Amino acid sequence: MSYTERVIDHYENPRNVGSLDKNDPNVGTGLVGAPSCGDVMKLQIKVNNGVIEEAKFKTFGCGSAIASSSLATEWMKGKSLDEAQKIKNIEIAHYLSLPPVKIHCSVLAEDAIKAAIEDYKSKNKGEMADAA
Amino acid sequence: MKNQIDYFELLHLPRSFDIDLDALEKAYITHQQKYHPDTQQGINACEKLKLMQQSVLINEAYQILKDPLKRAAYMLGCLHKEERINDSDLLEEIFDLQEEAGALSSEMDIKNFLEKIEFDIQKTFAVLGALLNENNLKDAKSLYFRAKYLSEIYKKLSF
Repeated sequence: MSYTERVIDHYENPRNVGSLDKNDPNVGTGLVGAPSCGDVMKLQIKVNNGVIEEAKFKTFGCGSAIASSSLATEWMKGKSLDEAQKIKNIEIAHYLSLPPVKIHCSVLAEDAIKAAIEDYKSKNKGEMADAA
Repeated sequence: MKNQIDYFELLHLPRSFDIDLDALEKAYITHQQKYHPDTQQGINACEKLKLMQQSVLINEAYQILKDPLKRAAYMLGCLHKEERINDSDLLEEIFDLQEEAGALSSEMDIKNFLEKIEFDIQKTFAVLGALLNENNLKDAKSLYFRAKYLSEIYKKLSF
């Protein structure tokens, strides 16, 4: 199986690799995995006034999993939480032209996005209620 | 485990994670000789096809049962399934191990690390096997995931 150009690009030049302080109340962390392929994906966001100002990831896994999470951080940056929540795995898979056997890598990235947003929201329950 | 072939039954072996590998080997050879289409004389095409299908199943049973990870996955009913998890304790541990593995530089460090992982895999299999034999599938599954992750780390590093 060969990777598409976009997968190779994200694999060789991953965007936003790194980590944020998970104890920072403005940071949401999503940690998800697919044991059958040995993938572990960590995706973190830093939120300011409801907008994702920073997104970082670190993924141990295949090229498609790395590319999917790298792309996810790129797409999340600058978006509101609600907008970011709407990112669908199928859009990631489509953009990267993932073959059917690698679709689950994009699903994992969507899981990671949702988990990070969820973590941020649960940390900031009080404030979110105040804002509403 | 509906609609799934019972590989243990197929090879006439007792259903247990602690399989006797010699008995498995013997059972495999015996059954393969019995069902292999080439060992039969004077059969028609339809009978030959049936034997071939049986022969393929026996091969499959052997390949799955001899490998402890595949055997565990099979007993858990999650063979060939791509499951996704968010068990943070396990994932954090694996994430840290992956980082540790990535930072190893000297051959000695790699050797020691691999030994540690190998030991951990064996320990995990021991508990996993006991849980599988008790049919405690829920706890067994999370240990299977752990064993699977550890084996992936081992494979990657021992390349």
